[in-house]
Amino acid sequence: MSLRIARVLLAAAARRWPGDLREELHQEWSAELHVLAEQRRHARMLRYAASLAVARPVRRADPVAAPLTGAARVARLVLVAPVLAVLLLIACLIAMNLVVGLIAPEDPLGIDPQLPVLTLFALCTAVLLARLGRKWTVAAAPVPLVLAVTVPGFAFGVMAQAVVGMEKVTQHAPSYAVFFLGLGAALIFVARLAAAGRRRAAWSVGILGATLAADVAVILTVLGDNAMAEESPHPLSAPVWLFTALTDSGFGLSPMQVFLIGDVVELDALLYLVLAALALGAVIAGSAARSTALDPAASPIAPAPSGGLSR
Amino acid sequence: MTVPTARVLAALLANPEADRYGLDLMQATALASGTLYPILRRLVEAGWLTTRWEEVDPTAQGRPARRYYRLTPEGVAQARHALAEMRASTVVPDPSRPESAPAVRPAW
Repeated sequence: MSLRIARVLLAAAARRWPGDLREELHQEWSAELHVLAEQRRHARMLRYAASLAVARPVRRADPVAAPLTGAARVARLVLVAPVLAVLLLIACLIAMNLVVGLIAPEDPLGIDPQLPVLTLFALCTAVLLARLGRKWTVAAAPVPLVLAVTVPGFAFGVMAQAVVGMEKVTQHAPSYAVFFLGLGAALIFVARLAAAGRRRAAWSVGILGATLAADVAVILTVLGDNAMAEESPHPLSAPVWLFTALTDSGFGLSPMQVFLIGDVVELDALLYLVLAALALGAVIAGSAARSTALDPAASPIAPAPSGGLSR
Repeated sequence: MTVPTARVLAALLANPEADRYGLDLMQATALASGTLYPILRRLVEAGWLTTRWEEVDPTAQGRPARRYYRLTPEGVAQARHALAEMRASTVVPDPSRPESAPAVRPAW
């Protein structure tokens, strides 16, 4: 029985590797499994197979990216990716409207599900964008890579507000600047951790840094809105404003204060979420790929396509 | 270089002329299979390791052939250099020793 389970695990493990390696790896592992089975070491056999089944296999560079030149890869990361992130966020808005219309057309419980549903969709989009960032990244030094994923986000954010009106730029641009500066600072540490092969730590630091930067940016946006003077929430509650802006939940704030926070912050918190995910995916994969390119024995992932960013 | 990679290289350098197989290296390095094989694959792709299949008739033996790993000559040199660098970077300088004396003992 344990041999059968181990074989199933080995087959699953082999399927996760690049196609041209699967057969030979499966043959190699089967030979070792056979030795363990002969020795009747059932527990070790299962550990051997299970470890391979859950391990992160060696990945090859994205074959779709191969025909692109270095400049095209950089352009894809710097220009196409943030535009795609904004378009996906708009798609989330449309999907949210459809879903909310279906599940709560009359709002019978008096709970407005729009923002929670939208945030749920944005979270799924963030996961997708993190994976996209990983695929579309370029192997580069931390500073140019961080600039490549933060400056365009800031620029597109400001341009999007400028389309609505210059007063919106005045209201949101300082917060965008604070968010992307904070995110950039966190990404420098993230890049170092990823280059050292500490991917989990890199993700943890990145998520924490992005959350802190977004929290501060949302606080600045709310505090900067003069129209809220009378109804404005107490500054002591400032740390939860980001989560209020994402979930429409009060965390002790009055319904009017929750409404005002959402009204002032608009979609900024969701924009921070998707752009931070894209940036994290790109920086972690790009830094690890650069580390591998410099030292083949260094990193647990294979190199991503090298790009034209200075090293 | 990661610690698991250093362990694999050290195990292979213990006898660079020997053919090593997966379970053998797992035992020598105390690494799980899921950690070891990606490292071996990267080292093969980097040209530090060469592989060959055990010369047995699987039907006659009643088991599949094993794959053996061995450091290439370039791999031996690179591995020694990488481990020496790693060792040097982790040595704490002894303040009692004069500056003219070498702070780090040669690794190999």
